[in-house]
Amino acid sequence: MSAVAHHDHHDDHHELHNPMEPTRKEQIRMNRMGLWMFCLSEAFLFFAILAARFYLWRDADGAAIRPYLEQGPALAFTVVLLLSSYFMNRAEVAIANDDKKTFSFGMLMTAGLGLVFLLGVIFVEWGLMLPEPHLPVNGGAFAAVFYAMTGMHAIHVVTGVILILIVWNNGRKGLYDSKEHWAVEACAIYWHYVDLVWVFFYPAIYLIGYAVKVPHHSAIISFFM
Amino acid sequence: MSDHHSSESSASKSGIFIRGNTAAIALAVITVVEFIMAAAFGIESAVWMLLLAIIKAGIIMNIFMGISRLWSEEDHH
Repeated sequence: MSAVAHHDHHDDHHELHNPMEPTRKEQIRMNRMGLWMFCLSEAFLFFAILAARFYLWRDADGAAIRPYLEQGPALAFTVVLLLSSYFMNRAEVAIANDDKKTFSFGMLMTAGLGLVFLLGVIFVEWGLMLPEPHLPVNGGAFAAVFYAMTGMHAIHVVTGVILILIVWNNGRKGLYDSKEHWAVEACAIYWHYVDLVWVFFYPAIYLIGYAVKVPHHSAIISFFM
Repeated sequence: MSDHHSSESSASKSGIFIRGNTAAIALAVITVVEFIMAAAFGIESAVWMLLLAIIKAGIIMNIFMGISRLWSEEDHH
C-alpha cells in the first residue's frame, strides 16, 4: 500500500513539473513569440510588394500614380474587414471569460465577414463576373502590382477563414475555456495581422497618387519607357 | 465570495469589450478621414495617410493583437 502511495506521489510529481520541459505558461509565451516572429517574417514579404507599388506606380516626373479603380466598393470592403476584427476581438475576450455563446457568434461573424471581403475582392475588385475587369490582367505594371497585392492578401484571408472555422468547431466541442484558449488567441493574432496588412495596402492601392485609366492592352509598359 | 469574483470578472470583461468597441470606432473614423483626405487633397495627403496608417496599425497591434502580452507576466491561459 505504501509502495503504491509512493508510486502515485512520484507520478503526480512528474505531472506537475518536469524540469526538463517548459511549463504550460512558458510554452504559451514561446508560442506567442514564435507567432509574432512569423508575422514579422511575413511583413518583409508584404513590405516588398508595397515597395514595388511605390517604385512602379510613378509617372515620368516621379509622382505617385495609381490605376483608376472604383472607390466605393473598396471602402466598403475595408470597413467589412475592420468589422471582422472587431468581432474577432469580442470572441477572444468572450472565451477568456467562459462566455461560449458570444465566442461562437463572434467567430462565425468574423468568418462570414472575411468571406464577404474575399468574395468582394474576387468578384468586384478583380471583376471576375464582369464582361471586362476594371483592371485587365495584361495591364502591365499596374496589373502586376495590383494582383500581387490583393492576391497575396486574399490568400491570407482564405487561410484565416479556414483557421477561424477550425477553431470555432473546436470551441463548439468544448476544447477551450477561460484557462486554456491559446488556439483562439493565435487565431485572433493572425486575423488581426491580416487586417493590419490591409491598413497599409488600402491607401497604397486606392488612395495615394492620382488615378490613371488603364487601357485594355499591355501598352502601359511603354508609359514608363 | 463567488458572487464577488463573478461580478469582478464581468466588470473586467465589459471593460475589455469597451476598449475593443472604442478601437473599432477609432479605426472606422480614421479610415473615413483617410478617404476624405485623399478625395480633397489628392497627392498632397500621401504623407498624412501614411501617418494615419501607422496610427491604425498601432491601435490594432496594441488593443486587438495584444502585443504587450509578449513582455507582460500576466497570463490568462
